[in-house]
Amino acid sequence: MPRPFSEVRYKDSYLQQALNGEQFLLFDGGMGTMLQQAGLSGVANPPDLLNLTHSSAIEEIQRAYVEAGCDVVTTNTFNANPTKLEGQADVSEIYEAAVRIAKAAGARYIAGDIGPTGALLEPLGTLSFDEAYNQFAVQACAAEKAGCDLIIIETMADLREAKAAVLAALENTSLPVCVSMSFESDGRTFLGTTPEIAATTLSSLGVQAVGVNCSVGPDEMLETVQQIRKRARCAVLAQPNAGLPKVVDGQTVYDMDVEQFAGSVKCMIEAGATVVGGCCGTNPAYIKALREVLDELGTPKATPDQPKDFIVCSAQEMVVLGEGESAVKVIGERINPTGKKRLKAALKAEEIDYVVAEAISQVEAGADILDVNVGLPEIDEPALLARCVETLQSCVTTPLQIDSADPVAIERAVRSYAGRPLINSVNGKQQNLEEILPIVARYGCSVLGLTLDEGGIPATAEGRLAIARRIVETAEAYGIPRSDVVIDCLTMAVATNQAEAKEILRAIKLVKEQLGVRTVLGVSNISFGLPQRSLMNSVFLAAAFGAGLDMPIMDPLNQRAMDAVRCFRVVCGQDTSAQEYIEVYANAVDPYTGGGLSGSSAGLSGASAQLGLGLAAGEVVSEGGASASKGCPIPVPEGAEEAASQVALIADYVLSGRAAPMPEAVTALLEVCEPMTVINGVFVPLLDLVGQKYDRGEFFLPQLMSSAEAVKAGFDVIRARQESEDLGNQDIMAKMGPILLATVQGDIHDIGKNIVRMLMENYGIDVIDLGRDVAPQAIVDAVKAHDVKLVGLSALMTTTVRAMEQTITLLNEQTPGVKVLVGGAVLTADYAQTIGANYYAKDAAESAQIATRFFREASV
Amino acid sequence: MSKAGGVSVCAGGFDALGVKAPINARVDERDALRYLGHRGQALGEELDTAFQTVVAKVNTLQAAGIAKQFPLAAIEPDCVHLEGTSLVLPGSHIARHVQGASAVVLMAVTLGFECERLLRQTTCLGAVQGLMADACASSMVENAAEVFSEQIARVATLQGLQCKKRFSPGYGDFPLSVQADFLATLGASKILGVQVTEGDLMVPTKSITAVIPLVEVSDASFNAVVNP
Repeated sequence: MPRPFSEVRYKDSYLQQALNGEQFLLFDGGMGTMLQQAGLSGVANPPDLLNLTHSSAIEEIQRAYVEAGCDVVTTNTFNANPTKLEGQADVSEIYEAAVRIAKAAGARYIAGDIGPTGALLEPLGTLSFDEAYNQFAVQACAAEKAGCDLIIIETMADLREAKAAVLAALENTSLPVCVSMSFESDGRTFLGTTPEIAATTLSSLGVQAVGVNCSVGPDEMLETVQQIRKRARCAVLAQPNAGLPKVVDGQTVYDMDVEQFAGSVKCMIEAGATVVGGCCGTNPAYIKALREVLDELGTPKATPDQPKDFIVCSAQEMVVLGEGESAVKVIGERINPTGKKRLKAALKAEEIDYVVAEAISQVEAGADILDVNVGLPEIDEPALLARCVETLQSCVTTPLQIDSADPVAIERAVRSYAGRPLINSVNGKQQNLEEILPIVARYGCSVLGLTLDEGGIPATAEGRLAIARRIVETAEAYGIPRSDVVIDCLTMAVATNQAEAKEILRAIKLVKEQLGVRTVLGVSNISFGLPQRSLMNSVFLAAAFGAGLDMPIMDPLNQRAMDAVRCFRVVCGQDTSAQEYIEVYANAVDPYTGGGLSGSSAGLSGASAQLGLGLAAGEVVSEGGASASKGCPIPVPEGAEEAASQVALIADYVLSGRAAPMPEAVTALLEVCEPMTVINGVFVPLLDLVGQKYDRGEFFLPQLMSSAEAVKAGFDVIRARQESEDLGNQDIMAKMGPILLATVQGDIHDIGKNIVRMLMENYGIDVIDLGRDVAPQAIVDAVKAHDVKLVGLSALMTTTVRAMEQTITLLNEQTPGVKVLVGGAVLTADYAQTIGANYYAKDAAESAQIATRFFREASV
Repeated sequence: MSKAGGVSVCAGGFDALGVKAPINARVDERDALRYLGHRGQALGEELDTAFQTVVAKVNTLQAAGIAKQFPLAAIEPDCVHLEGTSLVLPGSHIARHVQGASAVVLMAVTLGFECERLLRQTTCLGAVQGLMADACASSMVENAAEVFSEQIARVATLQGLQCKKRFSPGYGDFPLSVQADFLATLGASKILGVQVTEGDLMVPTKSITAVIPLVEVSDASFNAVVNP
């Protein structure tokens, strides 16, 4: 259960009214420019230390702002976090001094300022979400204890970091919280967040004001304010700079005078900002001008009601179903291990890259939202779900739907998600409502409700409607508006529950009409037990669209389902002038006239080509057949004589680095010879041949890697066959190793190490990959835990070779006998010896050779 | 390689480069292939198509840069002091490189965070694609540094100054540990979003910082490139 927020404590009723948007609230202006004028720039690093050393100078600046008429003085604590203070002072000491100064300056309200940590969050940087949260919590608590009346979190560029700061302030203090981000001239923060996304995500968390500061010039900021106002469920804040920055004689100056600035901010107020102030380049004169503007206006005009749009977003992308708008958004269902062997194996092995590749292929095929489900009985679901969600966020911008039956896993994943995810799911059971809805409310998510309860799934539309109603009403009681709830009326197999199919469609209609919520539906259940399932699915999908379905949960790689989606988008008016439809289908061949139906892959061939989907296997074989006759570069192994052309084909695929047709070819070869023959008589000689070509300079690295990938695709076929046939003790795929790989501490380059890993895996070595920037002790611990005999370390920078040396020393101390292989751009064989490495590899190919030799010798 | 664009280089001189400037940079395919270890091998249709796809993806990125000019205050044997900033450029190689210059331009260019996402994405699609994307992005940020240096050179010419070859932290004994202060002096964190890790590496990773010495045209004998 999420920790409850304490009730917000306002210093007085004016502050409460102001943060409700019923009164204006005027913040102060810039500190940096004023410090510069006072000759104090560069005197202390960070300038927050001036609170301790030059308190009267700070007080003088803040008094000038108070005299100019500001309501709120911002403490000089923008950098007062443990990272930036670097131990020069305590966080609490800085906040205490800063608040004392602000009080002495005569501030009516004091806002405890919190800026970014200055470190990048994972996975771009090395700071974890929880570590960032903890730093912010220290600051927020210090601000409250020192006597601040509110907290302002500002100049954020990373939505995830902003979320950590907001949660830290809301969960650890009872102060009102304002948060603002800084947007660039392209309308996004450095990390790609738009004002609408920031407003949606942060205001859903329960802050009192959300807004923009710094950024571009005030005139350019007007549009930002309009966008924030459109999505904010709270007051809107705007603190612009005094114009656009210019460098004059090497000094940064801002180009707006006081009057222009005030006029510009007035426009922002008209656009809905009620909390205003100044940022870089502003001084008390600018604030005085704003005071006059606000006094003239009196009180803000009433905020118009928010449109009841359904919104989910990542940090960079937003999916909106507008109030009353008829449109279809596709939720991709492929990241779910149920019935998917390969994904199951990938999840168990924590092979997150495979999950990301699944995500990318769905996005390219047209998914608007991606469902993420990693539920497997034998894994740590909360940890794995969080890891997948974190990695997916850094690779794709498509918003995610967090899918789990475990409330702990859900909370952990949505807590650190940068954006507003859709939670899948809650149902009508009392206990489930009580477990899930508090999480939805706390983290400002959207939620998907399933129409089932203690009594199961009702057979009638009315029964499903009743449960949907209960879910929607209970959600509202938790403060979740019904526009944030979507209902899944649950598909049953038409083969076994024929009467229910019509009820499902009727339920969708009823739920939409009577509850005014959006609907989702996973349609593929309908065809269970019937032939030509994808045909049935697509027709049912079309019927569901007709009944009012907004978001199908489906496989976007299934052409036929996407055919239905694209057609309906024309019918409902979403695909204006049928533009997308014409683009995709103008040159398509009708499957009924162009070759007939052939299972789920039928689709329209034109569309398939458009989307770059793979060709049918048969075509590939016939195409490859020609090149196979060129002659085979390896001897045909004994026992495979009758499949000589197949061997030649495989050799051609491997040498030209084509992984896609390999499974087909290897499967065919396995018809006539043993797996051992394929491995030792075909794969191994081919890998050797590729290695020789690389050594001779006939191949360069991408070719070596492509060939290795092709071989891997072949190995995968044999491995899958072995698993499915349960060959007992006949372990033909016995792996060598394990080897432990890591890029050393301080080094964030991992591409070289990843290539080494890939090649080693393709040579049949079991690899434990600890990733990049790995501390020496973590490497030693993993060596002990996995009984590792060979460690591969990579360092790309001269500066990080020292960490490599430390790691080797620690390994020698704590795990004597373990050998170390090193590589990396800056290393030489001699230097490798100096730092105590046992082996040095000049490149990835040599690494794999050395490791193979090591394990072969070890096994003798 | 003349790909001028972005900011007007005349108005405001170096000051015009002190705010975020878009740079028209492109992947240099030959350079990218060279980084991949290509020595003239036939690529083959498959690989060539894959490579071109990656080149096109990387070329969608927008490079940006910032530059500021600082007069030289003092050159010591093992460091360089600049006027108007507390930044010290440490190392005997940089000290030698700025000999004879009257001022330096500090510059930073980056492909931004969008590039980080692209690199992650392509790596997940396959090691080969990931490697190619990394090489393409490296060549593009090099090109961005080159294009930006040319803009700086044109500004310099208008002031009767000539640019010597750029010199980056990490060259010779000019340490990477200078990155944090270097970027802070340029305001690159605020203006370009470039940050430095504890290990002194820049994120976004496809970023370049450099020092460009400026010499009076009359001292054009310094045209000679000084390498450590």
